[in-house]
Amino acid sequence: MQRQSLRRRGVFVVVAVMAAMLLALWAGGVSTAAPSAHAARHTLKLSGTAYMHLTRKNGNVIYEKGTATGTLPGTVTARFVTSIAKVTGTVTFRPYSGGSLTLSAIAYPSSAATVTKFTGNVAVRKGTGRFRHALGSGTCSGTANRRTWAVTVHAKARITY
Amino acid sequence: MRSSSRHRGVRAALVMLCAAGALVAAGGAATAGPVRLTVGFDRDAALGAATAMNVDLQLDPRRLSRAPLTELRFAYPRQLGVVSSGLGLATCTRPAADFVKVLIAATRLGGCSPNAVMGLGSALALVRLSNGQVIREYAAVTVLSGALAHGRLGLVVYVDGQHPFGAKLAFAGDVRGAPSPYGGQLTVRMPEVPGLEQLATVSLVDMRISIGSHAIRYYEWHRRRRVAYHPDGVELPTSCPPHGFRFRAQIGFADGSHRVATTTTPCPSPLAAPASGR
Repeated sequence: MQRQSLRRRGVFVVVAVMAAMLLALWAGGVSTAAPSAHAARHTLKLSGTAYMHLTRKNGNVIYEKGTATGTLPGTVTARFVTSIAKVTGTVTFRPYSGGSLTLSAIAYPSSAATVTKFTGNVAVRKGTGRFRHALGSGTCSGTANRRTWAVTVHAKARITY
Repeated sequence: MRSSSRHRGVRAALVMLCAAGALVAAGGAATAGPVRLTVGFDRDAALGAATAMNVDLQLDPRRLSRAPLTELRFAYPRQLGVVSSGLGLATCTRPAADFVKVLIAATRLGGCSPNAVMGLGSALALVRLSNGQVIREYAAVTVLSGALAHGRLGLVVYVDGQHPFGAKLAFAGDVRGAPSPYGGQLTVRMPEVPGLEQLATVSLVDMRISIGSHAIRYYEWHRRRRVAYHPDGVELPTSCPPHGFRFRAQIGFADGSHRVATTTTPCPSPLAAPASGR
């Protein structure tokens, strides 16, 4: 009876030790994998200019498309929601080198002139391809021609992807 | 001399009436009451296209405060593209003193660019002279865009008395954001014309303003030639908000009282092949 109990205790100890070893191994694996995954992320200082023209309007929303030059040359599309004091929206860059990067923007016009200047902030919302995990933020400035709705946006952002 | 200043005062009063109307931009059913608001679009307006917005504000003086009108507010739905329209491409500014004395001497647009005109309209007021005589005064109203400051677009409203008096009044206003379901609100402040109080009381009866009116002409340079064009009016969305477009007008009086009128304008049809005549 006592001998059987000792054997059970021994089995339990072995199982516990094995479990502990496995746990340690797993934990070690994660801790070593983490730095390598972190090292795989890239940091990019994005600086570019988008030249866009109006494609259509939908009430207070305007849609634009055009081309971008700078760090990520390619095509660009945008959707802006206009209001009296500010303009909010999203700008999507599609670099010729692949992938896409979508920035949310909020900008404040400085005048009510035909060609008005604006300044604001951008934040990276999402991306595809190599930018699918992109994160970052920055600033934007530019001009908007309220007669033609030709818009030029200079954006500077620091992103990791 | 004294008679002349009295006449000027009466004219000023008339102008005030008109100015109050200028604020409101122009058909939905209005709330029954002493203030009736109706807002309509062009007859051929279509969702997804630009249109004039025709605002009609009718007041029943018998059921309203005898105190002078001091402020007009007009809220419009956030789906309407006022900023995205082609209106207000220039800035009209006037010395602050003009808005204090109200009565000004100026030509039609007071030296402002025609590219600042956002709306045109008319107003009708009843002028009750101190001797009991009541005179109907008609005035033209012009709404111009002002400077952008502190998140608000300034407005300058001219009220030009037409008949039987003739006087030009200038009022200041602004366009600012408004809580949902509205997207923006036009406000016009109408201080009393100094010296008028003892001579007459003015009651605004009707004011019609067309924001993006077809009569508005802008000018631009094209190959060294100044070319006139008709700016796009208010942009309608491609889909209609539930229950139509909701508008609200609030009128404030010198005694602190105010009246509110709301209206809902039904949706026009979706845009067919080519855009409407605008």
